[in-house]
Amino acid sequence: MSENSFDIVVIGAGHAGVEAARAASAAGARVLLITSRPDAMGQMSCNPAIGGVAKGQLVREIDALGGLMARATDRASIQFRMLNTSKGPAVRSPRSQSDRRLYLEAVSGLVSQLPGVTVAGATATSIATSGNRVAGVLTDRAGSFDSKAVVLAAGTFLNGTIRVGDRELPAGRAGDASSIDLAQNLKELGLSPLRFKTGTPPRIDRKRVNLEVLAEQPGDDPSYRFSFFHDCDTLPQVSCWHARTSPRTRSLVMDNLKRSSMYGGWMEGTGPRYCPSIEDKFVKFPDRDAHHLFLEPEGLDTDEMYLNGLSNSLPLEIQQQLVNSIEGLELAGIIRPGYAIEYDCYDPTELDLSLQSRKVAGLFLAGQVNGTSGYEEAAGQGLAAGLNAALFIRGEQPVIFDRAQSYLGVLIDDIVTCGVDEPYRLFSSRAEFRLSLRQDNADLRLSPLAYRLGLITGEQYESVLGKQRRAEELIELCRATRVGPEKINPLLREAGSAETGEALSVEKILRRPEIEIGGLFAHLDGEFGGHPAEVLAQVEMEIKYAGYMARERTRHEQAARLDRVKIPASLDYSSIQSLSTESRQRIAARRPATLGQASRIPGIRPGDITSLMVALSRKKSK
Amino acid sequence: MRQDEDLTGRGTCMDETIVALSTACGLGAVAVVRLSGPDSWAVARGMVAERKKFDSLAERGMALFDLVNRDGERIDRALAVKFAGPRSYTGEDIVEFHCHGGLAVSSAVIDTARRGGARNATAGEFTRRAFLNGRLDLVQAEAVDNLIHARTEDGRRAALAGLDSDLGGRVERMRASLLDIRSELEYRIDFPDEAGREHSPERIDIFISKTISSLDSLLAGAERALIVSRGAVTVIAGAPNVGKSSLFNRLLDEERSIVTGSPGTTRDAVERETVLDGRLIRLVDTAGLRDGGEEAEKIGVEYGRKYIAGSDVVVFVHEAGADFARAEKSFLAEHGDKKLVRVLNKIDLQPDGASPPDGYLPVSAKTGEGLDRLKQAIAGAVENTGSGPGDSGSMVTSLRQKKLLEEARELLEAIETANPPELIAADIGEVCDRLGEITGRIAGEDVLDSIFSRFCIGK
Repeated sequence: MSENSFDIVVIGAGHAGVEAARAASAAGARVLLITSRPDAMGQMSCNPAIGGVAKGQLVREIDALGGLMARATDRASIQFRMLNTSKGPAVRSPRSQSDRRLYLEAVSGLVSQLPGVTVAGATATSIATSGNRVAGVLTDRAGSFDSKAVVLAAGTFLNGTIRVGDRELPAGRAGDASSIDLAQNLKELGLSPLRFKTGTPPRIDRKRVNLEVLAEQPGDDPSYRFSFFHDCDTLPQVSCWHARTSPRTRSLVMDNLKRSSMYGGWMEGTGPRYCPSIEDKFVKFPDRDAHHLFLEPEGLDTDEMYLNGLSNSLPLEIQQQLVNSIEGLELAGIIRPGYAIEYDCYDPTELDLSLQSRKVAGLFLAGQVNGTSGYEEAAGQGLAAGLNAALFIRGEQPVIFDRAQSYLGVLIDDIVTCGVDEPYRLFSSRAEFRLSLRQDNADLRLSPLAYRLGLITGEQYESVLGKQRRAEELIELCRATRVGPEKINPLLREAGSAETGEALSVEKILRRPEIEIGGLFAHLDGEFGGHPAEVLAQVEMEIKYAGYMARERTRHEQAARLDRVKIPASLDYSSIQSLSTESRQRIAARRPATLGQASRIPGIRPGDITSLMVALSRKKSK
Repeated sequence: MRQDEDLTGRGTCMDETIVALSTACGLGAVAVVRLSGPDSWAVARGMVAERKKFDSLAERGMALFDLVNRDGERIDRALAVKFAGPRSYTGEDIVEFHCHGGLAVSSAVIDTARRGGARNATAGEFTRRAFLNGRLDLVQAEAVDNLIHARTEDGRRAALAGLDSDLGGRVERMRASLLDIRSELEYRIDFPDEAGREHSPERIDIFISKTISSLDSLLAGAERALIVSRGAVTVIAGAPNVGKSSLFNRLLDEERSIVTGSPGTTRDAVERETVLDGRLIRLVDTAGLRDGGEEAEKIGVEYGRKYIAGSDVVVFVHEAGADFARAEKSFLAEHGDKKLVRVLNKIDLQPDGASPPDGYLPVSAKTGEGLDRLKQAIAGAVENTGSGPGDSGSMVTSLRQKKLLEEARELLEAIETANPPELIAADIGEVCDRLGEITGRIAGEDVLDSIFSRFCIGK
């Protein structure tokens, strides 16, 4: 094979690109990773944090599939928090404040160790095709490369335009040039562009922030590790601070609305509702007099702080006044201003569930180019796209992640089936099988698949099986062990639970709503003591919330029945005349792979699915 | 299209234009012929003599036209109305011709429409199209169906009330308020840093009890309403060979069940619909209630027991002169909660002057003696079934709706508000699914939409 020939070319080395390279490399492919900034692989372009509700679960899934994100996060974590600890195990989510520089270094280090991955510093200008298939990639300064598959993970660089007030500048990220040639080429290949926008807040100088008047938000257990398989040293831990906007912040925003890029009429892209600019917050929620802000340190050896909640596209001088209108920030200077960015992404309903384009064979898309937002969402898609690109060139069946098995499955199915009308972000409420998709069991859910595909080692798989055995044994122990009244009554009394006159099984005691597993097991001690929280969560879900788990499994079985009914790609929807014209068009445009996927297309009613079912069975009987 | 059938539109081809007589068949002053489908305007245009006038006819406007057949022969002078989809009953383009009454005129009009490219509509097809095009929700479609099929005056009134009652709207509003509570829980789960303090179980408790009482008010009288619309299931029960089948046939005024002299002839339950004294009745003849007997008959007996369990009224038949104290005791032990009409049959075989015991209606299926009083007694028993008064005022018009409402209620009752919020959210989601099924719509992105419209997200 020549030096200019690879199995797969990955365009972009952000969170999606590096995971694509890792998964493809683990699956045995020879990979070229093209980036215009080889020194900034895995850059956190927005806030310096990884994880959060649903996103944290996704990072754990990426790790269970052998990905890089969890390992890089562990090596850069300067504040750890488990969110939702007051709620049940299903929605507890890890979140880490990460040192931006250390994160970059960790990603670079991990990428450099990947076998069969070559990094090229260049900007891709077009994708070469032969017929309807990918043939390679052309670059501006590193020549051209042949490949059978391409993973496009170009983030916000395609036709990216940064705006601050009435100033605009073509850029993919602050300081980096945008990709205009490649965007033009993708349009010519038949991909349908969407125009999205997002924003980022100003970074301020910590030296002149009066932290005394702000509420400190310290982290918790710094010994937590995102990675199931790798450990590393704990870094010094820092706090975040909580601030609020003032009446003056509000009047500054309202008085200068016309000078904001977003409200001044300079931008047309669609922004995310869950991450509104400060302009949006004051305009859309006029009754709220103040909005929360968080000061997040960007690293251990920098004074830069990320002012979470103050994303805006006002002129620089207004941004400075805005910052100084906040209590505690009266003297703080801006190191880097906030800005809005508009970029091209491509309608993800033109993909199949393996993230391959239905327009160009061998072209896979991952991350913000699919209209999603977030590092974690990008990384998950990168992993799936890289893996499926490797399977594609080997002529093997793609891996389709199940909604009931992972947040990754929810994410991919959501965007491919429903499309995006704003930058897509994962929420736990998007997962209908949320109780099963937990951060504590991501390894149990996904490692059999990961091991089969060669994404994790046999040793790693063994360790997961060991964890599973421990949980199963403990569940058995709860059922088999009976505890006498004299032993258990003091605990019941303390928890406000009815005392017992006879011996009860541990299972029965645990089922009482007022009994908490940690306290119970500590009280019983012996074989019940000393188990890690992750094992306890398995026991808690299977015993305490057994009814909910059973209901979720039943719902999954019902859904799976629809998901098993394949719809042939050749199905002529115009022949199914019992569908209304509208439904027919909707389904035909998405070309769902299964009846289950069809049922999730927005606007499709149960009646349409019955009609489809009848049409399919008629076809079969012919 | 009865309520048990599906509304999914099997056999409906929505590309075709359909035509049917929309008013009752027979003699009337006016007959309305309706065309619906993509070509309905074009087909209708070919049926009128004044085509330019037809083209300029405003949507929902009405004008007189001469209707002509394919040979240019005049059929009738009729009013025509144009409706444009989706603002029409079916959601498609529609033309209505208000013709002169009588079968001859309307069949000539329909015939001309068919020659022009329309086809005969199948039963219920206009309503089915309306449902498939999202013009009616399932509740409304069911009410229309009930209205068309109403056989009694009560049934017609109930179905009409059902169509106007807005059960679908009330269920949707209930679902929307459940969604509100759910989105608040989801907000606290998905945005813990912004939501601050935890949800209040007390508030959710209050909300749940409020929703349960709304469900109760919907369910009140539902049973009674269903009896009116689908008929009261009235089971004829009794020991073998007491003349149940003869009585069944007498009440229907026809020979349905096989009547023989040997006990145990009716092995399966037989069901027929009839109107007794203005009440819609679904009369069921069961196999004799007795233990033992051969295998096939045993199955029939089992089936009969199941029917009795699901019945509204039981007509318990004894044979005059026989000792029935024991049979009655064991029957009451099993089905004591049922509305009973006690009948003493075969009085023709009794010596004159033998008076029946208290509470028994003496009849003779053979001679017809006492039959009218029995019909009144059954109608009277039906009148008093169900929990509500004579006019139920209930909005529920199908068993399907009632079951789903009851399931939703049970699920709500079982919610443990001390549980973590994601579990309460799961419970509420299940309730919403049941309610969504009633109107035939499925939940989509609505939880997130609700969150974004109510809470300022984005730290």
